[in-house]
Amino acid sequence: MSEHAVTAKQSLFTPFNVVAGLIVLMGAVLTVLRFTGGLGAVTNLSDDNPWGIWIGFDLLCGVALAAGGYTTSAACYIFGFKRFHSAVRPAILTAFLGYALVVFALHYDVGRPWRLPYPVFLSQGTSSILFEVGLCVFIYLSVLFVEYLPAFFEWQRMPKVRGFLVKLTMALTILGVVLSTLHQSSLGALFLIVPSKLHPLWYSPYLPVYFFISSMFAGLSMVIFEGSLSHRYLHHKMDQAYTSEHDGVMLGFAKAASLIMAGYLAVKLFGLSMDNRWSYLATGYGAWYLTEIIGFVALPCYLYAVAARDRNLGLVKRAAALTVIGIVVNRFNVSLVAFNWQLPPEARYFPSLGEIGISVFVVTVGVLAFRFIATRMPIFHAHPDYPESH
Amino acid sequence: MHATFTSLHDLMVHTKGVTYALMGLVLIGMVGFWLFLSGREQDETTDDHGHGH
Repeated sequence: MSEHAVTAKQSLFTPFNVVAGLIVLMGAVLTVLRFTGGLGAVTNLSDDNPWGIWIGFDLLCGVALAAGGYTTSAACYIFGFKRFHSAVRPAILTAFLGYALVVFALHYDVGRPWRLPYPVFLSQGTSSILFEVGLCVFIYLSVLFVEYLPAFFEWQRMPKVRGFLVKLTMALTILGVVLSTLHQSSLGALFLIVPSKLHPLWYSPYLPVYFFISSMFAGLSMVIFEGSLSHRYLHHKMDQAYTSEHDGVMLGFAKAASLIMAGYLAVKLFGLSMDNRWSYLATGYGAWYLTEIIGFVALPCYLYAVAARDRNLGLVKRAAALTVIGIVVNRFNVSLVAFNWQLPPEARYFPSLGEIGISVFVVTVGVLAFRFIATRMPIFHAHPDYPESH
Repeated sequence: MHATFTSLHDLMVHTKGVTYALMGLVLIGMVGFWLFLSGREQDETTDDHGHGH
């Protein structure tokens, strides 16, 4: 065996690859169990609790954290912040994979996954918010796929198709913003139908507004978070333009996220006031609500502001991580923790190990797909044939 | 806040009154927050202009 072959073999068995391989193996086993034994074989879902972490985490968190696609492309192409241009492709790729994995995870969650296209093509429930969400996710995933394709065609050296798709950029960006506005808010609107099941501190007629505003800073924070991880592990794939713009992107997004989070806090305060929910703050659920609002919104908002003022990139990264965790906490609270809050503990839902395993598997597939694409296609660098694309 | 309301009108007057007061405070707070957020940038811009002259 040559020295080169030995090195290649060694480099394949890195700690990351071994852990990812084990998770994929576990996911494959759980997938077989799920599709041969049904939902009951791997989940704690029931008719009383039909939505578990595959909705609360894979779908609600996945869609919110994939919002970086529309926020970044809107900032660059619609609002004219061209200094954020190098962040657009990584953000679009993250969003595309995020939405693709949402649909992938839905195949595990719905009882008959082969009927997923039915609501769009065969039986349109036009009075249902869930239909609107499904339709928007279907169209927006297609939009993100087309937005991502120029990088693929640059990699495959197909300039004509690539050139045609690049001309669609502005139209796709506008379509992306419209579709995201619709379905990010509608995911919150899904819970308007359960005022008696959702705790009053989390239930509000303004839930769609909360979900939409929080998706904006979730997306910005995810771009910062993903960018800092990529900067660490995929630095060798980045060109001069990307690395020189990176700090400006981080600080600009930190400032924007801070301002949006301040607005979100204000709207949440107005919601509490309009619904006269103050008395609930003195309960156990109130303590958890205040933890979410102060610890995972107000604190990162302040950290972002200080970081943007002091041009402190380390603090920006920490605030982004805290915000991403905060979004997960918020979506979990709405869909799981504060949901069915009046039921006795034994009737409440808690995810099984199988459900957690599938969610970890889905995230791992996303990370592997991101790494596969980012190490081969011009995501963090301009293709030599198209130096202006960055 | 365990105020007792005898009619929907009373409740609305109370909640809207509190909310409008909060909106006023938030409006002032937002201006302060914006000045805090971008204050140093303005300082730097002023400094740059100062050096330019």
